[in-house]
Amino acid sequence: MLLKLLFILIIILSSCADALPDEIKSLMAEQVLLEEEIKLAKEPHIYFIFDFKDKKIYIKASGKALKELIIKDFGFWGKPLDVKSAALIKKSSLFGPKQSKIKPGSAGDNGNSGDFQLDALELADMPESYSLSLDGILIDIKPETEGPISLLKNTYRSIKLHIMRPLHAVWNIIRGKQFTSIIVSLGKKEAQAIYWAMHEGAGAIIYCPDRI
Amino acid sequence: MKIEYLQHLKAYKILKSKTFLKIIIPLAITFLSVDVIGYFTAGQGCKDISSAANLKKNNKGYVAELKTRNINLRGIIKRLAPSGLYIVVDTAENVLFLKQGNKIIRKAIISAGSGSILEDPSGKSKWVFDTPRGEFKVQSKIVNPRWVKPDWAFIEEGGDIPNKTSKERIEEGVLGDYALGLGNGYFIHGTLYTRLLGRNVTHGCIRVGDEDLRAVFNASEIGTKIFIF
Repeated sequence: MLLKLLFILIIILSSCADALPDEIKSLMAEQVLLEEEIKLAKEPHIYFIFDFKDKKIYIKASGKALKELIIKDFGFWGKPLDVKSAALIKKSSLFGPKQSKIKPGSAGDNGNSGDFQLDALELADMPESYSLSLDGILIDIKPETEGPISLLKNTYRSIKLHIMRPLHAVWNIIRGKQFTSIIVSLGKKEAQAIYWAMHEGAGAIIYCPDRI
Repeated sequence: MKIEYLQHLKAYKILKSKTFLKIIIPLAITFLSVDVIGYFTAGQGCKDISSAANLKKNNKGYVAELKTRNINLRGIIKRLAPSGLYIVVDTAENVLFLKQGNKIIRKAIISAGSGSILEDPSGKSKWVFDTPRGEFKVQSKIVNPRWVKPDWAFIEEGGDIPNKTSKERIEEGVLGDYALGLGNGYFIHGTLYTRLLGRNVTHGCIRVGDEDLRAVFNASEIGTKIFIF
């Protein structure tokens, strides 16, 4: 009985996948990508393209790639995505960077004396593991697993993810929206660079034509 | 021997206890079920592109039409990109690139904004010393620029704020030999503190070393695009 149900479920789900020629699907996805990019490139802002086809994240402006970052690995969960443009709503991390406060009257050194201490927010202060909430998309950035401590951290992240993303999905369904969760594995510096560069309100395009 | 040793461990006893299994198994099933239900419900609706493309499938003419359309779209994007020299500033790495197309003409180590916060003791104003991000244009080119100290500079030093036209606000020599204005009081300029190049230390301006500044200044024109991220 259980097997029958499972079989029916697989049939229903696979019926969603059509037998479109790959070339048409790919060209249509590219067309949507280009149309969405034109909209973003016309604005005087930095935007981001998460290209899962080429496994790269592009930081762009006016159609020009300013920086390319390599995606080590990724995984999708939930609503299949082909191309989607959305703005970053929120960045969240367990240990986010803290901006330091200047005490009035404490300035005047500027780094010339020997005991000068730099009190600034730099790339190394950025988290390497965090979530990016876009409209109907949750991107979880995590570093590559390297060694036992990293393995432990990533196991914790996986457990948290398996609990949180169904809740996100249910919450979005209640609001009448669809939901996709993407797990992206990046190098430490790349992950920190995205956290640094991506500000709330920044435009992003998710491009994954092979999943159609 | 090993099994006997394990049997004495507290954790092993807990793992084998029926109460533990009664809790952990339903919990695991619940989470798995929610995960599976969430996956399928979130995935409903399937693909927008596919449904649209279904109408046109097996149409060879349509493939050619799509290819042409995409070439045109790529052309539009290409035309939006700067045609001449432009400047790219990576505030995370504290690097400035002078570029033409994809070619790097010059790479310079810079200092960008510290991200620190300064509050007026009276509580009326607050400043965040970030370098602005986005697309800008060179709005002014100044030789031997003088720094007109804004209010925050006096608050930071713990002094009184002079009136707007006061000579106390003028400081010579601190901005180096050249400055490129980006608007809103932000500049690409020189620095006396060259040992801090490569670090995020400024109040939002972009500090560049003397040689690099001269090269960037000479190559730039009013209207040269600057991309800061």
